[in-house]
Amino acid sequence: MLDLSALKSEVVSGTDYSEVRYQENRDFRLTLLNGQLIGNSQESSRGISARAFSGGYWGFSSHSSPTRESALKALREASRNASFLGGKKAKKAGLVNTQASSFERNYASQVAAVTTGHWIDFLKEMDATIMSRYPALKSRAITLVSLDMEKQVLTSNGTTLFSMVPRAHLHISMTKDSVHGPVMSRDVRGGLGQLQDLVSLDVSTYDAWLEKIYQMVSEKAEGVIPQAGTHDVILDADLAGILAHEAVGHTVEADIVLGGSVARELLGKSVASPLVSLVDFAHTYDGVATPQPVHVDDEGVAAKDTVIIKDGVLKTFMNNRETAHHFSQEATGHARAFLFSDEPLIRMRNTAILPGTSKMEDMIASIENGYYLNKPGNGQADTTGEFMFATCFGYEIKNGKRGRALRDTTISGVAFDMLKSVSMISDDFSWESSGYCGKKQPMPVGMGGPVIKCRVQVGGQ
Amino acid sequence: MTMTADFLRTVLTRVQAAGFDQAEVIGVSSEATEMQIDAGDVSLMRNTENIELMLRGISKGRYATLGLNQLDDESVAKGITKLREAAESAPFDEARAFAPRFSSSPVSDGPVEPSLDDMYAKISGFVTTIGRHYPELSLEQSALKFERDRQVRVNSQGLETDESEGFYSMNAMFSSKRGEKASSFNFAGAVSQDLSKELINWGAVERVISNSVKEIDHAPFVGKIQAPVILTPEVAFEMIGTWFSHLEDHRLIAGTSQLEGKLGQQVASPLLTVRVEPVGSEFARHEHTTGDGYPSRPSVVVDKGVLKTYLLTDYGSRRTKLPRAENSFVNRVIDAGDSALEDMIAKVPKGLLLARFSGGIPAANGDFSGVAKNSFLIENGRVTTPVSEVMISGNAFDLVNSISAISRERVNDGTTLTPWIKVENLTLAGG
Repeated sequence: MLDLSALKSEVVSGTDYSEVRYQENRDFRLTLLNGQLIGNSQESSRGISARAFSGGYWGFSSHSSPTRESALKALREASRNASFLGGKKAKKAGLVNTQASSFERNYASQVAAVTTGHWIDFLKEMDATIMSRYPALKSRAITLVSLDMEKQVLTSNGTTLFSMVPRAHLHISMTKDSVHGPVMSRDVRGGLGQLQDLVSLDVSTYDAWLEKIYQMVSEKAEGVIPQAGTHDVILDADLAGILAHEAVGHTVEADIVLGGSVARELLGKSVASPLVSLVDFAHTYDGVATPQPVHVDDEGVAAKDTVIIKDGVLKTFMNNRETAHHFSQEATGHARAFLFSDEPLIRMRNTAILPGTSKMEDMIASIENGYYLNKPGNGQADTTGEFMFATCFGYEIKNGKRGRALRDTTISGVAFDMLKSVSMISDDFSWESSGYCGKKQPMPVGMGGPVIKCRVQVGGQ
Repeated sequence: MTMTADFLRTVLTRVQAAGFDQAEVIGVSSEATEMQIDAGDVSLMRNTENIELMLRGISKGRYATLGLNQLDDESVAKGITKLREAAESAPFDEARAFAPRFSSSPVSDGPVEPSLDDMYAKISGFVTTIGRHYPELSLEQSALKFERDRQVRVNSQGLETDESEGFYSMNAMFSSKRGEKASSFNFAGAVSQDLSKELINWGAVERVISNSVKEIDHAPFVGKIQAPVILTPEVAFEMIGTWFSHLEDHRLIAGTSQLEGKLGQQVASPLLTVRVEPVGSEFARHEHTTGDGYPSRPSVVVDKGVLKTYLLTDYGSRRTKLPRAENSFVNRVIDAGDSALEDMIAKVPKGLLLARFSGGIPAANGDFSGVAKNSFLIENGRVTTPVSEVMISGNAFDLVNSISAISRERVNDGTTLTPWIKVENLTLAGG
């Protein structure tokens, strides 16, 4: 592997700031659909990129050949690109400086890798188990997927970084016919680590989980669509996590703030119930590594937890070096790039609402007529704070008790209105980490939270 | 090592020698130059170069695929070993095969090199135009990009294709703000083979931008109604997208498609005709070969509401024993209707002009719900208030059957040609 530290003298010359990054992403995916292996792929993508800041402009260059010559070429081209823009028009912009540091962290498994053949045998055995145990299913799909992301970064202020952050997941979906047409339930397990750390080859360890997914699809087949309108709802932990990410997180990314986000005017103001505190964790929560740990970001900034909302008050934005300079805030390590050929953007890491003191059963008992929603689908944010996300399962709540199951729906609201409606937060917490955040580039993120009670718009009939 | 057909043939021979009965090697080399706007001004220029090598092999009906972006001997050798391991353990699948040889000459479309000064003139001109004519609009991450790609494919069946294309693409993301009132963010983009036009005149960019400023004065929608909705060209394909997904591999292989067995049947409004023009001269990009190596040909997917073809790949076709699509469903056309857009709007007593849909992935039975974004109320035949906080719900299959008018006017964004489409009886709810 190329040793970037040998390029120290080249990185510091000629520009206000520059960095060089070597990165390799390794993807692995197996998909078994109704017993047929429709996906059996592995992919590796690696290369070198360089970024330079000069005269208020950024220049970037990347090459797939991971050699010293390519690194030097990328540095020259990045500097040339910034100079090209600077030669057209003068511009004022600056960057915050940070202390130089050196950091290495490798989250690679300590357990021997499992061969593709064993994983395929595992999928076949699991599929046979599902088919024999649940013959009423119309379709079933099992997917194993992993991504290893390995990075080396060298910046002109002397910071060096090596990191290897893997994540792996096992997805299962079951589809059943109903009088409303086919209905599907799915669930996922996994998180930080490689497949051999997270997925047991013993299919019997998943019995209870398979039963739970089958129970969901069976109840959903008899389920109803919610009444469209604004309702009291209980959002399960997975949904609270996506709420933290979509409804709040995106509106306080400093580049989105500069683009007109409503959050700009709300800094220092009360934006949520005093019960709500929301943090974008860097790498550790409650003494344990988060699903997507970032210790030093791709601009060489040491990552710290970013407390976004404390006791209902909006405290800060999420910054890179440039926006931290613009807003006179601290850079806390949010600049991340997905591929070697991508420039770092402001990204969330592990965004979570902090737990409260309520108990789940008391929360459900407190609602006369509403919904308990507990499986997230996709979501989207807006500069106005208006968010939406899909929910794939849940129940009616009638007179404080769980009622009929729900089919798929979507919920929406305006983040800083909805957060003021939060009236109970549970004392437990869990992470969800299988999704990608989309913002020019995809990016693995962690989302976490407790169970919360609030009022939102529910789509439906 | 460069990505030549000779090099790929050498790799193919090595893959075959590793014990594969059938093999395919695809090489893609790409170069791109991009100028990017952040927070309202040009901020970054980048150039990227990449090479991708895709190895595919079938050994006694066992299939695997492996991608890498290094061409050195050691990387390729490791890749072939991993491909072999992955295929050895795959179950037998009689539907796996590679495309047969067809007569194909090297094709090159579009510009070969970007003009950096012209790119800068266009993107800085775009910033200036926005500042001058739409001062309340903030450009977020937006970019003008030039890409040049070459794809070479060789396989054990004697197939060899060599295609290159160059094109410019622009995308703009923005929202508008006056005091503390802001519009929802929106985006607009298009693809072109040249830089002759100002960026604001590409596709529907200026209409979407000027609406963004009007959307500052949005008001929440209150109440719940069943109403007609006019889909703008920007949202039309997305709203019908779920319906198309029931014509594709995954649902047809899984047996969960609601359109299986409906070939030749009326499955949508007789007003709807959808065709695909892979090398249509009105489009900025062209597809000469499908993703699985067959010559790409024009097709009609839906003719006056009658289903004419599925959108199956070669594998999906062999797996389901249903006919393969003639193309990869790129360069999509919805035929123009016979209504003037103005007349379509005039006939709506109360409804919605839907410009963006922020919704959940629809359910397996086609039920969908989500938030109508950047959209306007239609009242008494006129487009009136921009609305916020309105949920819209319906069913994808009901939606295509409820099409009651299609406009004569259409928008070409370089890869789609799309009219405005009126659908009936969607649920709007808010407040």
